[in-house]
Amino acid sequence: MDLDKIKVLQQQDWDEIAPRLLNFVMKLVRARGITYIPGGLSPEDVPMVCIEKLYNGERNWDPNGGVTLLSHLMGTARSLLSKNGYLRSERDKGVLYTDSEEMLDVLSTETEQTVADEDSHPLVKGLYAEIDGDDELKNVVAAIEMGCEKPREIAEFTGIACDRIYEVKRKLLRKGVVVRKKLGLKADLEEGRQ
Amino acid sequence: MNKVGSTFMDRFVNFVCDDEDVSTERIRADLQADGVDVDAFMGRVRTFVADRTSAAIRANAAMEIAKAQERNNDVSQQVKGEVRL
Repeated sequence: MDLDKIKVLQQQDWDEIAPRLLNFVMKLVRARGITYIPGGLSPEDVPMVCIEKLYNGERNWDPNGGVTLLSHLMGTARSLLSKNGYLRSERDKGVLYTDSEEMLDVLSTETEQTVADEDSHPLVKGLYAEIDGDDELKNVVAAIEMGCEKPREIAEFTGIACDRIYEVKRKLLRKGVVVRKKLGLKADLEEGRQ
Repeated sequence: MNKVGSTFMDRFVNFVCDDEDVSTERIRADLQADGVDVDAFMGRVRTFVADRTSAAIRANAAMEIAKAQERNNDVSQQVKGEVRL
C-alpha cells in the first residue's frame, strides 16, 4: 500500500471507529448465534483481522468512494462472520475444519431462506414466546416482521421514543440470545435422540 | 422500507446491530459493562496502526535513498565521462 494511503488511514478517527466496529462484531456474533469463530478467534480478534485485511489490501477501501471506513470495515466483519465468507476463504488456503467448527451459525440466513413462511421460522416463534407479556417488544418484533429494520423506522412504526430505541434494542438482543440458546439445546437433544 | 427479499433474520440482525445514532461514549461504556477490556482493545488497534505507518514511512525512506543513490551514480558516471573527454 502506498504511503499516501497509509497516511490517510492513520488520520482516521480510530478512537471512534475501533469501539464501534467492536460493538458491531459483538452484536453480530450474539444476534446470529455464533458460538465458535473459526481459527479460535475471539470477537475482539475479528476487528483486528478486518483492519489487517484493509492494510494488506485484501479488502481495499477507497477514501473517495463515498463509503465511510467504519461501514467498509463492518462489511468486512459481516462477510468474515458468514459461513460463505471466512470458511470459504480459509478452505481456499487449504485449512480444514471439523464439522462442529462449521456450525458457525445455528440459524443462518441461508437456512432461513429455505423457510417459505416467515411466521413459522423458529426464531420468530421463539421470540414471540419469550417476550409474551411485553407489548413493547412484541410491537418491535411485529415491526421487523412488517419489513422495518432501521431504528428510526421502528420508532415510527411502534411509537416508541427514539431515545428509548437503544434500550429496547439491547433488551431484544438479550431475548434473541436466550431464544437461540433454547433452540440450540433443543437441537442437541433432538440430535441425541436420533 | 425493507430491502427486497430480506428475511426476518436479516432485518432482526440489522436492527439490533445498528447503533449509528448512539454516542461512542455510550458504546464504550456498554462494551465495558459486557466485560470487554476496551482500553486493551484500543491499545491493540493504535499499536497496529502506528506500526504499519512507521513501517511504511521506513520503506518509503529506504526507497527514496535508493533512488537518490541511483541518481548520484548516474551523475558521477556523466562527470567521469566529461572529464575523460
